[in-house]
Amino acid sequence: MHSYTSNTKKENKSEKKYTFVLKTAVSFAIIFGIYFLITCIAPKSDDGPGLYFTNVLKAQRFAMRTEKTNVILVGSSMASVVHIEDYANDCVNLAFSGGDALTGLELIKQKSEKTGSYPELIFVEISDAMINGIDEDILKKTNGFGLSWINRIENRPDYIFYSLAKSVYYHNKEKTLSDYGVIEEKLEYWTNVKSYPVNQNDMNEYMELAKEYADYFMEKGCHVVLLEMPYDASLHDLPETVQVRETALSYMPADEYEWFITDWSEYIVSDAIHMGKLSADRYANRLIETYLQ
Amino acid sequence: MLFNSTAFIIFIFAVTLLYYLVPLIIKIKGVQSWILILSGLFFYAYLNPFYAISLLVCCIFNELIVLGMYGQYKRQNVKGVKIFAGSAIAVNVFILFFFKYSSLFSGLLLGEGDVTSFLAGLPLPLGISFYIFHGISMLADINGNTREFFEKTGRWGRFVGIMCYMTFFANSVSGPVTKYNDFEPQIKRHYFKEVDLKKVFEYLLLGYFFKVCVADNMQNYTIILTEKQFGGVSPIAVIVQMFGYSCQIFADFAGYSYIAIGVALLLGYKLPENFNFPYISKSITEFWKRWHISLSSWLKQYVYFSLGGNRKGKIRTYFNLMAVMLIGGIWHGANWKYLLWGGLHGLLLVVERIFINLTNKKRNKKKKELFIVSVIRIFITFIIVSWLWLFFKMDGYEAVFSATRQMFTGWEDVMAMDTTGVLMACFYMMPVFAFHGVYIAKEKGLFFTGKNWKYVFYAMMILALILNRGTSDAFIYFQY
Repeated sequence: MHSYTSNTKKENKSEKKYTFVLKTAVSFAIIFGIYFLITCIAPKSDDGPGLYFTNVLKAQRFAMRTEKTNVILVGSSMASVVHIEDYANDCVNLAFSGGDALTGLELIKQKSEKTGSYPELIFVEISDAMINGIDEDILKKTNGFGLSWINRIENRPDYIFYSLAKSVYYHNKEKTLSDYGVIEEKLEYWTNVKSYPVNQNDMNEYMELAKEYADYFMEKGCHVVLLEMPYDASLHDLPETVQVRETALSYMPADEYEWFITDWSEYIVSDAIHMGKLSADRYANRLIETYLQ
Repeated sequence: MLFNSTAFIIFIFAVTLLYYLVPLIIKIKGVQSWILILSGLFFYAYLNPFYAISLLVCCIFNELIVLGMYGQYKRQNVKGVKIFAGSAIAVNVFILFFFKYSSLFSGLLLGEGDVTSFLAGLPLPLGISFYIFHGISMLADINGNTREFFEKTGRWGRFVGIMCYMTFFANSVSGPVTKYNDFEPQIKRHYFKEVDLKKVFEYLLLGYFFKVCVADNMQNYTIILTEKQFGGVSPIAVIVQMFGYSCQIFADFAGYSYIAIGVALLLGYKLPENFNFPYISKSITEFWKRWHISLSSWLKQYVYFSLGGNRKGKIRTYFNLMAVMLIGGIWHGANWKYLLWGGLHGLLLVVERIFINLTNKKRNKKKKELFIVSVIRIFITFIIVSWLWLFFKMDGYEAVFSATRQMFTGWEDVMAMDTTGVLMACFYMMPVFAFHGVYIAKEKGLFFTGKNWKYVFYAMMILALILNRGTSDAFIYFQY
């Protein structure tokens, strides 16, 4: 420790009592200046170093976005792999891994009320993840002080490092779990999870909230499309999957709300619930073809 | 109250103001000590009033014992003083044992049942391991210096001194463990003008940097070590996270210790250093001279020496070393994994001691070790220490062995891994390695020898504190 602190009498004598404040302040100004320049020129990755950072980054970018956004996909990690943003500049994927559609819907509502501009089309993923509720932390980080320069994920040193490293060399082989035969374990795990219904009261509470959001946006003239992201086909009729579907349909029946129906067996899921890249691209393509072209 | 919470920042600001301003208005001797005592109790009560009550009960018990010792001293009954001190130490140990280990031993002896569930359900008072050690240290030190202690201070002074020592919030939760003989002479009127603000700043900055920027962030990238099975996980990921956890636990605990030392300095008290660049140790023996120094020193003085140290022959020395490390291990918690962790460290200390004894005669002490040999020894020690941390972190030895197995398998497709996790774990290891590396470079006169270099580091740490805070989490050592 003594290498880092001043404990020599000689040094103390030679410096006035508060010189360290001045020296630190000057050093800080220089370091901050250099760092500021780095943040301006460094590459900026689309994701952050971890799920949490990726979610906040996504939310902050959406909150700061100045271009008009017409098409938005909200949901959980299952929807986050569906890159509709690749199709047009006014499309945004606002799905949060480990989160759910409700957080995305609240963000859209807040931004739309602030700007007075509403998206034309919102895809809402309906899933059991909705019982996570709204992520207040993400909302906090997209409002006021949470969105200030010092609180933005893009300005964090770890994000800069991550983006730089990613731009130089990055090899994150997509979902290699099946190579190790782990997919069977995952499928077994999810079969087990989805064999038991979740608390019906919780499900009702959050489904009602989803309905309120859907009604709100429809009232504002938005086209709201509800969708179930494809799982492994074997999970289609398990108790929890059925419970989510039936509860959602009881609140938002198919004759009043638009549902996007698709055959799950057409898509390959890499770990039982998340689509592989090719399938996710095909799914995004299908959405765009159906509703935009 | 956590050191890394906003509540604590407000608390320490208010306490410092009161601590230096109130004595200017209320001219009563010892008023500063009372401010410390009340602040200490508030510090505990803020989290849970039960914590403050437990601490207070422990303090009062020790106060009564000292009163009893004084009675015996007045009657010039030296044996009586010793009996009082000895039995009180035993009671302190029993209290610690009851709260921390009774459920473990009850489960072992009686099996799962009502008694075991009742004992397991007892809340563990915050910081009990530390303030019980403080109590034992105080009783042992008074017992060793009875005359000086009782003649020097009056009854009231002794009462306030003991309370102040036991409730001192800077170190009573997670150390550094301070010996009573080192603390007691510092209980006096302190003046703000005497405070070395530069040192306070340096300790606090380093402490908060390590905790908030390194440990709190690193915890996101060592998450894999909470698993029990490692099938399919890349060996590189397991190895990197093992080293990552080494850095995390250092940043967390050293960070806490630096904050504690800084806070104590702000209040005019000097606490012992707890870490001395432990990851540049060339052997396990050296590691324990650099890691958690205050606990090692406490155990050495009050346990190792009491058992006879190295004065009773080689075999007895090995036994004593093993005993101290087992006690040090189980002190961390009521779990066999800590005992195993302590035991393995003890075993390595014994092996090193045997090796030293065997080679001592042949070794040419004047011959300087080659730099490369030193580097290899540091590296090997770091690997061993890091692997042993797995016992600390993981749930059971089966998980440790599963992780260890995984380190040697799956190398044929080594890049099939979560690159982000590995990359970021490496990123957060850098400050810890740099901390040690700069020390070596400076000591050897290679780099960073100018006295202004440290301001550049301070600026970088401030920048990191502003921009790169992690998710706030409790200190790892709070649970001990």
